[in-house]
Amino acid sequence: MTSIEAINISKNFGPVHALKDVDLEISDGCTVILGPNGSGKTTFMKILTRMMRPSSGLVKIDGEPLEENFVKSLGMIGSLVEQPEFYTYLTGREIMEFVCRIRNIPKNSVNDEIKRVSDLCGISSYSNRKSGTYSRGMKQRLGLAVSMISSPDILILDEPTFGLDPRGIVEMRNIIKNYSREEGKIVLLSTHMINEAVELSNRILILYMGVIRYDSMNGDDKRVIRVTFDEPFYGKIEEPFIQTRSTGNEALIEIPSEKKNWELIYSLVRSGARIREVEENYGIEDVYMNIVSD
Amino acid sequence: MQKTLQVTKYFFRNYYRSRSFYLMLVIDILICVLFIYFSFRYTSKIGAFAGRIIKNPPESIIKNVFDYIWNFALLYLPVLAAVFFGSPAISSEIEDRTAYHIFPLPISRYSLFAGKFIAAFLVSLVVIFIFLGVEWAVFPFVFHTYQVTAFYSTIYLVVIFLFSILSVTFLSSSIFNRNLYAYITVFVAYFLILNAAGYIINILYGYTPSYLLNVAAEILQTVYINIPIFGGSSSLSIAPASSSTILHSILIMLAYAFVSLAIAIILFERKEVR
Repeated sequence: MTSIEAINISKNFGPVHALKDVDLEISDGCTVILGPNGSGKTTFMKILTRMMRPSSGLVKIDGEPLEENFVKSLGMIGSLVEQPEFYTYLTGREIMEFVCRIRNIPKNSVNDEIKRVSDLCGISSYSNRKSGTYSRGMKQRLGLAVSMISSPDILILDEPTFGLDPRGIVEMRNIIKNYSREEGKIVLLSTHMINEAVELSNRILILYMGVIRYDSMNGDDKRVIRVTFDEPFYGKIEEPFIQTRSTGNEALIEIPSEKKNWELIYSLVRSGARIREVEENYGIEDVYMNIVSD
Repeated sequence: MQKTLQVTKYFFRNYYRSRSFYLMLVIDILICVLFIYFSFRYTSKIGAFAGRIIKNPPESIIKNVFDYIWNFALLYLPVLAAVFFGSPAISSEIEDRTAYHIFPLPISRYSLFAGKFIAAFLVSLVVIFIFLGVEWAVFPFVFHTYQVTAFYSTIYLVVIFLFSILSVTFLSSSIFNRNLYAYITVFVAYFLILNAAGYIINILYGYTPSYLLNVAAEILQTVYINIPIFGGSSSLSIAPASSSTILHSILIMLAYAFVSLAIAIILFERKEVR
């Protein structure tokens, strides 16, 4: 089974640590990376697609280090990272032809492949126009079409719905869902839209300050409880519970998987808290807010 | 190799449809028109010019002087073409964000570099060959005879010069991520630094620094008559450059080309999209 693996990937830009020891293995389904601007999502994707080299660590595609046979490895990856531009004086069709030839699609199959991805991504009507005349959304669709040429086993998409109109967003999501669920390919995408992440993914990661802070595959480790107090509570919360956000009247507290909710309540009461309500919250939005407001 | 050819094919297409190519064509045609005008208007005075060096110059010398003057343009046309097509070749991948599309493709950077270089080389050749074609065509109208033998030497010499200067522009383009810096660097290096170095060395040490690219490129003119631009009156001669001088100039141009290409490829291979 094809897989993409990042082993202890770090990337530094001078004193800035964009990624810190990122470990990740994806072997199926659609994985979505969430994270605020500057969290390292795009840098991570650039490293996976060899646009950038890691300061340390290793990328493996299908078990082989990317650098060892990168032409073969990149042949298994289709990507749309950031908002790409294309060669202004080539038509969309010519750009797809070019990519088909680079991806070793036989000459007599090129037209069929172009028709397939053009129809899929809805660019057939303007693919004969020079790409310099395309709008942002058209380029985004062309980028997706190009990334899907030869049906690569792994599709890496960085904010793929950026710049699309509402209809385009729905269509793009359907294409991605279909590619992952029906065709059984690996999709790794980043987005700022939590609803998009929930809709598309079977695994969600939250990358924050260059570190994967949340992985829904290990979601049990990060149960979050929202506790509301009758009176403001500023007392110390005992370990192993971690208070990640507090307004005095309300606190978000992480509970390790082996602990029960009553153990938290008992601990809080013992610390003098007057509890009004305890709400167990598995919502990714809260987890996200909880992490990024650290 | 197959992938390199594909890169060449599509980049050549992108080049010849570009505004840069049409602008270059306009410049090319303007230069041709000027030279054609002066050829018909002032050819009768070439004898008088040559007569300053030798008395009663034969027709063969006058023909050589005619081509010598035409080839003045060939000292600059390859430079312009190389700057137009070579300077943005690598830097534009980053500045125009096309690298996001092309770097993750399953092709080595060497193949990509080679394909782009060949495409830029071919499109520059088109521009240069238009000029050479006009020069070749005008000659029989003026002299009612075929081109001199040296003209055919200038064809391979200008191809080598183009190869050399294009390599330098690719090096500049590999260093920078902004097209403007790549353009300016080549212009300043070639037209200012090399020219200044040529003059200064000539004045201070009394010899022609033949190891400078712009001096080596003078072979395009001196292959007809040996009046180098940077040389003092001591080297003034109506005789064409010798075979050894031609070979020396070729080696200098190739040295610039290979060193520049080697460094440019290393830089391109390490280039990151930030």
